[in-house]
Amino acid sequence: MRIAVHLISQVGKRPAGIDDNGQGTFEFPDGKTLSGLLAGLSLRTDEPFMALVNGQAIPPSERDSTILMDGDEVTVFPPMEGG
Amino acid sequence: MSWQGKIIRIDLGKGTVKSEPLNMAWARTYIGQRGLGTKYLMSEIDPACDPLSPANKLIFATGPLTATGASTGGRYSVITKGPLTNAIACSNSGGQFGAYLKLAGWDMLILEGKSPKPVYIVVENEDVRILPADGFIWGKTVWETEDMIRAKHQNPELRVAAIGVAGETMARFACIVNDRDRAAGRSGVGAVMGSKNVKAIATFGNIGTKVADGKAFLKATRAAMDKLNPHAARERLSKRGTHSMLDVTHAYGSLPTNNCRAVQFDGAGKVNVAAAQKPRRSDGRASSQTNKACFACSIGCGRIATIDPEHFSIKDKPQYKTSLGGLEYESIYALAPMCGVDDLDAATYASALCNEHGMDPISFGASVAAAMELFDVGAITLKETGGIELKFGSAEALCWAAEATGTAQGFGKEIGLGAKRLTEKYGHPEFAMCVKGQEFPGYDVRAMQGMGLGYATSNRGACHLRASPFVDDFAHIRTEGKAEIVKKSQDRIAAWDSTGVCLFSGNAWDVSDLVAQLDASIGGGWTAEQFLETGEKIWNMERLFNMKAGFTAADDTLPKRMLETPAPSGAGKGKVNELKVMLPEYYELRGWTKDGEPTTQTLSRLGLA
Ligand code: SF4
Repeated sequence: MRIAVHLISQVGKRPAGIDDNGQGTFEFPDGKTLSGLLAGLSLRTDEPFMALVNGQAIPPSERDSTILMDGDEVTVFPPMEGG
Repeated sequence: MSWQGKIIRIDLGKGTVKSEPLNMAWARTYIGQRGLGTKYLMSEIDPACDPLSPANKLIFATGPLTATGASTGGRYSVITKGPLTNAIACSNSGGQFGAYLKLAGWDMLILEGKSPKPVYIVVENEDVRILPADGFIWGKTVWETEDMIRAKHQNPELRVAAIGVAGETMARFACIVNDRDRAAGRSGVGAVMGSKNVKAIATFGNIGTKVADGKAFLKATRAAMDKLNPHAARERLSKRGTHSMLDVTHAYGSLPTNNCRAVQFDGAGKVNVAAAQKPRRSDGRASSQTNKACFACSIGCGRIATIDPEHFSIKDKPQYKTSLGGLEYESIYALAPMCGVDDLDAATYASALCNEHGMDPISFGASVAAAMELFDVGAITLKETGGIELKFGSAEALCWAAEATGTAQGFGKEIGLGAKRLTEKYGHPEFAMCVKGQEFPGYDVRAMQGMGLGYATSNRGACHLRASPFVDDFAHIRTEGKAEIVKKSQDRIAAWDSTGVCLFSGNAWDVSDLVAQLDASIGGGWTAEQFLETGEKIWNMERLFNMKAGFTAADDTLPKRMLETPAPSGAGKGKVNELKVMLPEYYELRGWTKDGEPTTQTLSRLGLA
């Protein structure tokens, strides 16, 4: 299955497969979880990050049980404060 | 100890300057800046007074960590009764001005009464003078004022906090701008300065500051710096500024658009950070040039920008064809999506005019958006606007509004009333995206439930810097748990804002990191628990001020649009803000009655009885 990933406002090393605009498409075998996908992106862990699947908020506690489907769009961003 | 131990009190009516010892018992209890300034204000004015009358006071307060060398420790706050809200106002600013006031040997400066004629104030270490502004800087822009004061006093090191014509004419959201593009922005503190006939305060100091325990201070500040500098949030704020929040709120569906008729903006890609950092065709330069830091700050979230020299807004205006203070998230939200404008240069120009004329870009932009909605439904017409098509999406209208409001011309004077008074005047109070009269920052609160509770209960009206429910709000669109998150973060922030460091340091620091620095600087054996309880005390003191000013639980509310009209898209699609569910729990957690008043037990527990 193909999953579109959009990383918003991430800093640090750009994960393989993610372009300059923070976007990439990944092929996975069926059954890939959201937490599995996020782990593969090697995001920085010194701040939390939030995830949406098809625009819907997925709490961190539900990442393990969220099974991705072909065509899903995953958006990842930090919950920073504005100013 | 890192308080200087004295304050400047200026009686503008009599034209006198007095040096006064700082009330050390209050300083030890309320720390500085927001807490201590509010304690002074509460003790010295009647909260029911007219904020634009001589009975109001204007307090410039530094914190004990201001100018000590603690990272981000250059902050000061302006505390007064706000003319936008009629509530307690406390506006926090960075830059250099506050640090220089402290380095001149002062913790606070209190302006009272009203000068019979326009004046400005110069503080050079011990030497404090009130000088005539008439025929000199009265009527000038903030930028001209800074240049002229420095030239006259032959001191390029003077740090100037000034109002523009917006403040002189008491636009309700006029702000005080220091160092050209940093501002004590919210609630109309600049209008209070204008009402007192004070154009500017210029500071220079080289007296220095002392800390209670030098060795412990060095250790604590180094450890804090080591934690802050490699942090991801610091890197992001430094490289992209707060502007990068726009992609987040757009993706989530909490980006206020077209006066909150929408929550996502089709033109987001034209006004986001990527657009600002992309070289343009005309001159090969990007809008966003580099970053800028306040005093002692290793983050540097501020931006330096340029406007496309071919953009219509600056045609024949060479003064803007140079580097200017750039966009922050709150200014780009208010000047672009909120008004439906997808023109980055127009927003940068309007933002520059807010700095030049002394207007809060959040309230200005949201007031223009309210005016655009009035125009859209025909409640105002070309007759009122003087022939300007005040349509959502019009970059020309935005730029015109910034000029007209900043210089108090024509319909600009009406925009300067702020969204609440403007929409009431034209029969549509429901178009005001305000709480307690203060316009929304850049978060629609249908997708962000906790932020809605934060706006509704903020003591200074709608504010994104009074509570921090971001992590939970971006994960759960629900009401459970929000009351506790909002209450706890309000208390933490109230204490943080009293120390002299920037709130953004909290992206990397825990309370214990800050308390270690605070304790080493002022002594007293501070603990994290005591720090948080101090924040709670400050919060309740502000609440008491507002109650005496006439506010009740009925004012802890949100615009009807947030409570009754479901979000049209995004993660919160179909949702309204469930304030009525969260508010009773919040009151209970605070130890307040169901009418939102602190109980006598709560006041005694906090030492406020
Ligand atoms: S983080 Fe930004 S606003 Fe805060 S002190 Fe540093 S430059 Fe100023």
